[in-house]
This record gives sequence, structure tokens and C-alpha cells, in this order.
Amino acid sequence: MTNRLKYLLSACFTIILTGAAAQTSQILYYMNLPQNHLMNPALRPSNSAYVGLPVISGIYAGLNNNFINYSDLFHKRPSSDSVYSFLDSEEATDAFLEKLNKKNSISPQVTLPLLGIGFKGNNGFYFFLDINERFEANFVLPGDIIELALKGNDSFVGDEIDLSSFRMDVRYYREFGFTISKEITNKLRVGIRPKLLTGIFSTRFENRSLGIDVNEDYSHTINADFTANFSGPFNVYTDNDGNLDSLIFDDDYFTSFNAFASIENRGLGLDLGATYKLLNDKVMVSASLTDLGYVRWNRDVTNLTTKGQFVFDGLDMSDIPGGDEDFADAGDELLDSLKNAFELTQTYNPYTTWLPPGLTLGGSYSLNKNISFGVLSYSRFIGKQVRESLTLSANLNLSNSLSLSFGYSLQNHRADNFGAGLAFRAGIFQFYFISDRIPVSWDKLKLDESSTVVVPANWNTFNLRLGMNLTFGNKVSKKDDKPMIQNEQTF
Amino acid sequence: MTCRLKIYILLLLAVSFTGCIKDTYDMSKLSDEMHLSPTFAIAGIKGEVSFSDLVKSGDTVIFDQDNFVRVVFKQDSVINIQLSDLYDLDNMVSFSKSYELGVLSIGSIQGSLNLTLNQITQSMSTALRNQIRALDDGKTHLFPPFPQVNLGERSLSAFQNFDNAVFKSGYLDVTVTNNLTTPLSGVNINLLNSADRSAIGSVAIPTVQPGQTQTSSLDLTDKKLTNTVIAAIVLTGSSGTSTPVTISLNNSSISVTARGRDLKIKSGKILIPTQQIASLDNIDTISFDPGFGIELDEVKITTGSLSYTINAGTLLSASINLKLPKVIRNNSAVTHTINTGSGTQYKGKIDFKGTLIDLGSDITQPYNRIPLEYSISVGSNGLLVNYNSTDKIDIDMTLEKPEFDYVKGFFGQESESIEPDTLDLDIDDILNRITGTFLISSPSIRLKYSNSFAIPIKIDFQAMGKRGTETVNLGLDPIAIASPQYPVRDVSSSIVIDKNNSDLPELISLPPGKLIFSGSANMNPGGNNGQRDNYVFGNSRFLGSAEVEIPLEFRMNNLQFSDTIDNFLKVDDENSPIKPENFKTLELNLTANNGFPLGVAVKMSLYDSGSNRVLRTINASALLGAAKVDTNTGKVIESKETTTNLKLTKEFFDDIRNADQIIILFALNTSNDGSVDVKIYSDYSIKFKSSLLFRPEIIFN
Repeated sequence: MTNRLKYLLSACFTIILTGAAAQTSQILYYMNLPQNHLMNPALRPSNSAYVGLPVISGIYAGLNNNFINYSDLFHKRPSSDSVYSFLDSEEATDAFLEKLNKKNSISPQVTLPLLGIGFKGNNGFYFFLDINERFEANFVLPGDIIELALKGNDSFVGDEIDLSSFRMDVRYYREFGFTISKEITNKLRVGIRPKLLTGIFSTRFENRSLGIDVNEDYSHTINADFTANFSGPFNVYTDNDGNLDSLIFDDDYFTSFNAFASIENRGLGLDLGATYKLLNDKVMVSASLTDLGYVRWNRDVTNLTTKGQFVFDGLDMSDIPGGDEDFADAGDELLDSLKNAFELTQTYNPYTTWLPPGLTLGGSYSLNKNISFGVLSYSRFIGKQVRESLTLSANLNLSNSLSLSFGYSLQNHRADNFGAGLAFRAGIFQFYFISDRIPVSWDKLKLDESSTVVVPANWNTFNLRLGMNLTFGNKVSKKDDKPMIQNEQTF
Repeated sequence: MTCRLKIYILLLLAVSFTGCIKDTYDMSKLSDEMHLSPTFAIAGIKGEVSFSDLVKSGDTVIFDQDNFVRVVFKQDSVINIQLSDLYDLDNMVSFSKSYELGVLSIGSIQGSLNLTLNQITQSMSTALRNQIRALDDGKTHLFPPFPQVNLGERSLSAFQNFDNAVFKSGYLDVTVTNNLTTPLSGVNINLLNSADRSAIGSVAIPTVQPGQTQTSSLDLTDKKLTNTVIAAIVLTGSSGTSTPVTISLNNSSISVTARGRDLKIKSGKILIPTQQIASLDNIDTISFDPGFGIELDEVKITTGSLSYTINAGTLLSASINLKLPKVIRNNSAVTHTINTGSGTQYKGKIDFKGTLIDLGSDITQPYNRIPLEYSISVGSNGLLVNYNSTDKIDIDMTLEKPEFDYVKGFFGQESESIEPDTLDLDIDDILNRITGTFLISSPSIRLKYSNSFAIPIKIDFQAMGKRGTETVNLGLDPIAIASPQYPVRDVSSSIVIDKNNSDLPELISLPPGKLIFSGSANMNPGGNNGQRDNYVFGNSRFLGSAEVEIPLEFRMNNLQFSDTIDNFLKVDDENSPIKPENFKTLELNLTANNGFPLGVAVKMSLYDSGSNRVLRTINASALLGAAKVDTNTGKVIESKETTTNLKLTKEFFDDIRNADQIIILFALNTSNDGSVDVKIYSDYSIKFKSSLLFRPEIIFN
């Protein structure tokens, strides 16, 4: 058993460390908050009704990158108090590069609630209505391109600079969700959350192929096959030959009400979830599949597609000595060839972006009615990438007035993620603050004699969810509303 | 219990969130050492360049049909000699003559008086007068004799159209008519000019019978005569009659008449009838002066005129008739009449258009002369004018800027020298840096000319190239310039200077730093054979264009050029992010497939002039290898591929900072080490491809 557990844990670590960062608040899952139904529609708070006010009921902001930390950029010399950067020496640069991944991602996420309503129905029903503004982005920077910038292309001779993992997906959409959860039996609860999505703007970079072969004779073969899709405030300008001239972000786009109110970019989504109690309700297992859905982008769409190959085996000087061309002409010719090889085709076809589905698998054990321990696996599927995280948590729910959760997560290539969540209620006002990663060690940055800044020593994951709910019906009815685990305040 | 637990939990959270300070980074001590040293491997430049890409064919560079390349420098109108540059034929005629009018003839003049017997008797004694008066009774009586009677001075009537004159010759005939009825034994008459009572002369009239006249002439040579003459008359007496005659005091008289004849005057104020000046011989000569040693035989004038100016030094009007018997137009001699009127100056022109002038009709000087026939008539136009025999008429004639059809003759033995001159090419400094041998095999200089001077000319052109103490003479023999043979008016030909008639290849291949020119051009080098068969035409000119042709056929044997220049690699800009010394390495790989029969080697040395030391040298000894040629034709038969790897190390870049100069050495060799001539064809090409591996150290400040 112990060995099997070791293997299991090793496998989990391997998945996590080779994968990418997870998102959303893992800590939230086992807290007694209305917002946890967003992770599993079968989850519900202990109070019988809640109202989420615009913005203040719960801001979620997250930023994950899996490759760079402050401590990766600056180091202290062991023998002195002087500081050096990763550009200080070749060794420092090499050390910096060693920490890079094949795929280096930055994923900001912001969710702003516009409205949240939840209430308990008869016959074991619970209903939620949510309207959320969701901004999600995912940038993936291939490790090769960073190595190319810092070390040059010498090490790639005879090899390929692989840029196929480059991604740039940004979307901003509005989510109208209606959640129904139902006690099927005393042990089983299911939930479903159909969602209507309206897109506001998006970009999606479909990278089918992108790379540079550095040949033995130092010639370069560039292969590219991608489509960049834009919907929203992006103006594409072309020159007289129809080639892309510039892409300008239109600042005025959002000054019109229509930019936010339009429903031309429509989509559907679905969250499914279930919980099941075992072992005399001491153990609860749960599972959810969230963000199954898509947005069809129809409004102000531009698609820029190119597919081609270009071989650069030198600047052709054939026509320069005779005076037919000068260096500028040869350069222009090279650029023209490059342009022609990767001629951008501009179309205006609607495109679809799929939401990155999340699979949550959880299990918890209730020590008593207030304390429980949980394990939670969350997998997010972003294209071909799988971002995995595993969270162990200890949860305390006192009645429905205080909810406290401590978590330890393996995520984002790190094993030092400690998180915590706190929610407490004062009357109908419920305040909460959750972060999956609370820096446990800090560095002081002494900028000069009088100013000092304290920054996390390792903080490549940032997420924060905080807000205030209006809760009603906080008196727990032990008879009618038994929690799925012994921690009644939580579930 | 619950509240206490909550407090504990909050405290725990606070402690947890606070965490611990792991380290302190004093950013003020952040190392300035921030740099990057990426290594980049990139393809550099590539291409295929043919000679025709490098140099376009045109007027200067010519590709033959077989693509052989010749360089031709053409310069039109390097020589442009016009007729006026050699000869001044514009004012070669200058004729100026003064003609004195001399003695002129005038018509006869006449004056007279009449004395009645009554007037005569008043000069007699009273007795005699009374006696004769008594006989005037209508009856016949014997006329009584009477002695000498002095009638005193009596004025003759004035001469018409005459005021005064001094005569060169002529006579004044004094005639006495006796209309008395008694004979007069003689009459003595003394003539005086009434104005100044100067004597004219005296005549003695012999016996005059009644009704008869007697005349006596007075020579007027050198005599002055005015228009009013006084006659002092003395009757020598009368023998009376032997038969009775009627004696009438009032109806009988004597008359005296003075009449001039054959009058030629020297001066005076008279009316001069129109007359031709007889004192002139009416023949003259117009001389041409075309220049020293030039003998003109014949001139055909297209357009032009003989301009004349008449200055009349007389009050008489004149009519001048000119005839140029050897100036022929339409088979007739040119004639011209000039009527001066009464003015003092008169100008005009004699049209010479289309005339043929024979300048050789004078056997004593059968060139540069044409005869002139003329006559001058003068007159006073019926008016009294003052005249003097020294009065003159001046005639000036010029032949200004005529346009010739041709001029035939002998144009002398002019010798124009090409003054020795030195053309300093100012390349001594360059030549001092060149060693090795270099030979351009077949250069040539072609002087194309068009000559319309039908004059034999020979040019002796010498040139010497000088490089240091070494000299090469052109060694060109004198060259005769082709000239047209009349009636051919123009001939085109050329002079070629090449290896067949000179040492031009050796001179050019020296190569010279200075070119020293000298020479001469001689006209009619055979002298004057008396034929006077040189021709120049109105549009005669000598036009010459030069053409220097250098066929690209040459050989070079280790031709080296070295130069020392300032260290251009050194970057003085301290703020420049990339300096040569910041390169850790730079490696250049160059692969060239050379289709030219010319190899190139380059050596570059960093040099510190302070320590007189070469710090570092890069040697691309086989940058380009010469292609293989057919030794018989000099044409490339196989290209040569070379690969050069130049590796510039950190040490080299460090030395850039210490070097203030760079010594560059180029070495050129044609195929077979310059032992055979190679030819350049326009389709020769060179393919090249380069790649760079470089590792800069980019320092961020």
C-alpha cells in the first residue's frame, strides 16, 4: 500500500512538474461559500440564499507563469551582500535557462461577477443564477525562443528552433449561468450548470506549425503555418499589395455600449458535477466537469492565415555590384521574399474558441462536524496542454459563520504552494479571502537607504479571490439539510 | 469556546500570511555586470556575379560577339581646328590710294568793249576833235589823219561763268574790229585784272583797215585772270583816207574783244565742265596679304563684298568707274561705278558674291594680286566752284570676312610645335605601393579625324612614360595626315598607335606616374613646288576624336598593392553598445567559385605605429583562386573553387584597441602565375556564399 501510494504520488508529481500551471482557486472547493458551485455545480453553501452584488461579491484574479520568478532573475553572491542578475555571467545565464521549460506560459485570469443569486428550493433543489465577466488569456512562449535570444542560435545548428508551442489566446466573454443541484439520494447530489456565453473580444493564435531549422551551413529554413483570429477592437491595415501593414488595437471600441451588450458572439457552456458520500458520510468523493463549451465569434472578425516556408541562405548580392540594386534593395528583396513566402491571407470568417475544460476530482474526510481534510485534483485542458494541480487541504467550518481552509498544492512546477482561505460572516454579510498560493518566504528589496520593498521570494503563481456575499437563511437545519460530509457548515 | 477558537485561527492566519524574510537584496549593490554573449550562426551574403553584371556594355565597355571585353575610351572633338584658327583671310585685302585731280580744262570765256568815234575824238586834241566833228555832216569827206590817241583804260564786259583762275595753259585772244571809215595804223592794248589791277599782258594790234579786224593772242600760262578785265588802249594813229568817206561820230566805232581759249586751269573759281581726269593712268593693283609665306593663286568667294570708302578732297563731284578684270562673275569682269555727289565721304560696297578671283595674272608676281582698272570724271555741275589742281580723291577698299568656297595656293611651311608638357597622374604614392609585374597586351590609341584642309601635314608625336627612374618611350614614327585632293574636299582617316608601330603596351603597363609629351606638326613638309595646289575651303576644318582601346587581355604576376590606413575598426564612441573589442569571436566562412582568371589574396595586419609592431595578422592567402585557362587562347576553361575561413578571436579584437593603423596588402595573380596572357569575357562569373559565426558581448549599462 505504501509503495503503491509512493508510485501514485510520484506519478502525480511527474504530471504536475511536467505539466503547466493550474488555475482557479483550489482552496475554495472545500469552503462554505456560494462561489464553490462554480467549481462543481453539485456544491452548495449551507445558507439558504445568497445575493452577490456586482463586482464586490467576488473578484477573482489569477496569474500563473511556469518559468520565471524574481529569484530566477536576481541572486545574491554567497560571499557578499551584492546582487547580480541572470545576465551577470555566462554561468548565471545558463542557470537561468536551465530553469526554463519547453513551454513557458503566462496565464492571467480575471473574473468579475455582475450578479449572483442562489437559493434553496424544495425537494432538495438549490438554484443559482450567475452573471460573470470573464477574462482569460494564455500565452505560451517556447523555451527555444528565449534560449535563442540569450544564447544565440549556435546550439541549434543542425537542429530546429521549435516554436510550435507558441500560443496567444485571449478572450473576454460574459457568462450567464443557471445552476440546479438536486439531492438525488441522501448520498448522491448532482448539479448541472448550463451557461449562455456572449463574447466581447478574443484573439486566438492557431499554431499549426512554427519553427526554424538551422542548417549545417548556417542557412535557416523557416516554416510557419498558423492563423491569427481576431474578434473585437482590432483594426487590420493592409498595404496596396494587400499585405499586412499593421494591427492596431482600437481604444475607442469599448466606449460604445454595443461592445458590451452585443450578443453576436454567442456560445454555450455546461458544468456538470456530483458528490457522493461514503463510509457513513465520513468520506465524500466528488467530481465535476466544468467549462464544457464554446464561443462562436461572429462580430468584427478578422482571420490572418499564412502557410509557407522560407529559406534564408544569405543576402543575395548578385545585383549589387552592377549597381542594379543597393544594400537596401537587397534587404527589401529579402523582406519581400519573406513576405511572399508567408503571404497573409485576410479573411473574415467566424471562428470558434473552446473553453478549456476542467476536470475536478475530489475526496474529503470529515474528522468531525467542523474539521475535514480534502484532496483535490484539478486538470485543465488547454488545447494539447494539460495543466494539472493537486491540492491537499485541511478545512475548518464553524457553523456557517467562519470557514477556514489551509491547502498545500503541487502545481505550476512547484511544490511549495501553500494556500489559505478565510470566510466569515457578520450578519448577512459574508466576507471571504482566498489564495492558493501564499508566499511563505519573502525577500526584501532594498532599493535605496530609505525605501525597501518586500516581495515573495518565489511567486510565479498568483491568485486571489475575495469579496462579500449577502447571505440569508444562515440558521442550519440539521433535520432537513444534512451535509454531505459531517462538516455541515461546508456542505 | 467558539469565539476563542476563531481568535486563535485568525492569529494563525496572520502569522502564516506574514511568513518570514528569506533574504535581503540590496539593489543599490546590483552588479553592473550585465551582458549577453549569444553566439549567432547566420548565412551571410551570397550571389553569382558575372562580369556583365558588374559592368554594363556601352560606349566605354564593349562586349564582342564572343563576349570578349574591350574597354574603349572615346572623346569626340579632341581636335577641332577651323580655318580661322590657322589663317586670317578676313582682312587680307587692304587697298588705299589717293588720286590728285590735277589740271582741268574749262570752256572759252569772252569779254568786249566798244568805242564810238565821238568817244575816241574826246581823247584827241581839241582842234582835231573839232575838225572831225565838223565833218560829221552826213556828207563824205576825207577822213583826216590823226596821230596816236591814248584812249585810256576801258573795262571789258565781265567773263561769264568765271570768277578767277590761274592757268596752267591757254590763250587770251584780243581782237580789235575797226568800224571806223579810216584805217588804224595799230592799236596797243594792255590788259589788267580790274580787281587788283594785276597785269595780264599787252598786245599790239597791227594796222586795221576800216571794216576789218585784227587779233593778237596773250599766253595765259601761269597767269591769273579775273572775270573783269581793264584794257588800256592806245591807238597808234591813222593815215586818214584818200577818198571821201562818211564820217559819223556816233555810228562809227572800234570794238575790242578778249576771248580765252584752250584754257587749263590750276586753280580758281570757275565753272568746270564734266571731264575725265586725264592725268591718271587708270590702272592699278589690289594686293592680298594672307600671311607670311602664303601665296594665293585663286579664290572663289561665295559671299562677300569689297567695301570702299571715298574721301573727296575737292568740291567737284566725281564719278569713279572701277573694273576688276580678274574678278569674274558669270564670265564677266566685275565693274562698279561710284558717284560721289558733292559730299566729302562716300561709302559703298562692291558685291563679290559668286566671284572667282585670279590672283596670279601678274607675271611678275603670279600670286596675291589682282589688277584694277579705273577712271575718274569730275565736274562742277554748272556751278562756280573753287578748285585746285592738288585736290584729291582718296579710295580705300577692304575685303571683309568673305565666305570662301575655296582658296587655292601655297599655304606656307608652318610648323606648329607641341610644347613639351608633363602630365602628372599623381599616382606616385599609389605606384610606390605596387610591386610585381603587370602587362596589358594590346592597348591601342586611335585618332580618328576628318580633314578638309588640302594641305600636306606630318605629325611627329612623342611620349615618354616615367615611373621613378624607369622610362619607356612611345617610339612612334612621324605620321602623315591624309589630306583631300581637289576637287575632293574632305577625307576621313585615322591614326592608330598600338604595339605594331610603338611601345604603347610597355608604356601603359609600366604604369607611368608621369607622361611627358612633345612633338610637332609640319605643313607642306615637301616645300613649295610652285604649283600652289594647296586648298582650303570655306568650311575647312580638322576634326579629331580620340579612342583609347584596351582589350582586357593582360597578365599579372604577384601584383601587390599595400596601404596603411587608420584603424577603422576602432570604435571611439564610448557609448556604443557593441564595440569590436566586445566580440569574443567572429568567424567568416567564404566559399567562392571563381570563373575569372584572376586570383586575389588579402592580408590585413593590425599595426601599432608607436611601438612599430604588427600586433595581429589575418591572412586570406587564397581568397580567390584564379580559374584555369587555355594557355593558347587565354580563355577560362575551368573555374576554381576556394574556401576561406577567417577566424577572428578575442585576442584579435583586443588588439584592435591597441592598433592605430591597419596594413592591407592585396596580391593579384592571373592564371598560371601570370606567365600567360588571360582574356576577360563578359560571361565570366563568380559564385560566392558566406556564413558568419559571431559572438558579440553585449554590455548593458
